[in-house]
Amino acid sequence: MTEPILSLKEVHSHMGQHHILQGVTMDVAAGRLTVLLGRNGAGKSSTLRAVMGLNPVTAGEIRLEGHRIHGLKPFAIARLGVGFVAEDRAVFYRLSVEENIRLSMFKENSRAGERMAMIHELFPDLKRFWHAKAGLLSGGQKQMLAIARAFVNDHKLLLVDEPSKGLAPIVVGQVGESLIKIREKTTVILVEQNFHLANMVGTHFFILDDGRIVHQGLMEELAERQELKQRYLGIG
Amino acid sequence: MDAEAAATQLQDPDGFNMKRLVTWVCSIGIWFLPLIWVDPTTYMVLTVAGVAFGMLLFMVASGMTVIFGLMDILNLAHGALFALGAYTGGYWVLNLLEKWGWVEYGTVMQSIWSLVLAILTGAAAGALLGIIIERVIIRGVYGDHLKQIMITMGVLYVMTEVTKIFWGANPEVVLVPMTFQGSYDIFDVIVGKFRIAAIVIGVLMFAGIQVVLLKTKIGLIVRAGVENREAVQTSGYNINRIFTGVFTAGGALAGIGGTMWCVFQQQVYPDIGLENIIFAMIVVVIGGLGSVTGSFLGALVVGLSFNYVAFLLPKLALGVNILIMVVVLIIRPWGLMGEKQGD
Repeated sequence: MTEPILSLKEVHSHMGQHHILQGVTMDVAAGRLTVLLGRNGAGKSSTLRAVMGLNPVTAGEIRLEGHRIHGLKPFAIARLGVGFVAEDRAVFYRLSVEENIRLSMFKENSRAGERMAMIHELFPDLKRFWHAKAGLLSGGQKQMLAIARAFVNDHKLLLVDEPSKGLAPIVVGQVGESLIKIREKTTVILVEQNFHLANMVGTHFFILDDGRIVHQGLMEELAERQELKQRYLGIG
Repeated sequence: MDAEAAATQLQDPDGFNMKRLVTWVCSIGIWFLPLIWVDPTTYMVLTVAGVAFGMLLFMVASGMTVIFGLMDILNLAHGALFALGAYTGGYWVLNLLEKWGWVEYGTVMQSIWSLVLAILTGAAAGALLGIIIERVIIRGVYGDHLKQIMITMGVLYVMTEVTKIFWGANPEVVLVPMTFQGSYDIFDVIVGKFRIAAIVIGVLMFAGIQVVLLKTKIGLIVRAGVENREAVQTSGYNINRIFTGVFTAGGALAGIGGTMWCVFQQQVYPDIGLENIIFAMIVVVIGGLGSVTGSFLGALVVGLSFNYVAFLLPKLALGVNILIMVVVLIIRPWGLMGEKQGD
């Protein structure tokens, strides 16, 4: 495996008295779309939030390209090149689509202009409602805006938390297609319950159970391993 | 809502609405009611005075509504920031400049500079105390309105007593720069010079706040931070630093309000903050908590109604303002321009 862009070693996280992450260890290689799988409460979203500095890391270490990032504030981690698409589609409802994108842009230069052109190509609906308030968009459009917000910067790593949640199957397909295009530009870690979407876009996977990594490998191999899917994901 | 419906709604949010039209006609028409009792010249005098009073009220309330709207903090210590602005800018600086003959008998430029320096000093004092209050006191009670009210009310009372230690318990005279003394006679309508200055500064403050909030990146970040702090953080912005900046700006606005108010009243006294926090709250509640435009309109409503009623029935002036606030709270609890909770 090439030098990992993100490395977690024995990461523990507590929320109150709950021991959420119980020693997560994983290396994520650059240029891949890695999927975190597992049942509800396994610690998938908590892992992403710990990487982003939103959940406390009580033991262990997290490194981005070899540099320690645990203990840093979320805004500092974002400035180091980590984009985050939260589970609740964190878009700003009272701001227009354009303002949502402009807010997320660190620099408004020619590079950002290229990214903007890509966003228009990837998400034509956003271009259509460029000056509309984000609160008026449909669920799928909001999700695309959330992804576009994270993608507008030249991030090294994109963390995407359950983009299919609450979306119609046809919209999930559109989100999947956009993620496939995005993985060609940026390393992505995706938390996903929808195995169909995970299988469609993922190149590699980690399975979490009770706050620990229990399996990892190539996504195409997982599709063949019925016992793993049944045991850890509840699908046959 | 599908995309087409959203587009339609954006182009024509409400369509023609008779109820809305009647509301607008009544809202505008009510301001001409005093013409039944007073002649047009007196009406114009009262209107200009009311607008000027409204602008002074806006200066008092703007910082409070900015801090609430953007940071969700009910800051009753705003009265302390206002009082500090009044004492440092309006009283201390103008007295200092008077020693060099700049204020009461100064030239036009000296008068203008006196007022500008007083305002800047008041703003700086308000901003400085604002930073201290936010860092030391408010930061521990983010997200808890009840604690915010209790602790900031405490700060207001403590600061009122501290003011007495520094400047004494008695009212002090505040000087008015020469150029802003007296009044103009425009077709028999008497317009106080300082009232014109108050209107100009009030409108400039409103425009300045709107430009910063709606046209700049920092305004964009602040508006976003009001909606979702976590998402602003993960977008790469230090929300704590931004909110300290907002509180500082709110403090500066209070300081400007205090300076202008005490020059208008030509006196300053320790309870000035306690008294004016009531006006600020009436204006902010009528306009809608958190809406700068609402506070601007609310201040005009309170300023005009106060002046009209004070002329006809002086003892009812403040009572009518409170009555307007009660009526607004019954009909539209979120205020003229506030956002309905749960929408």
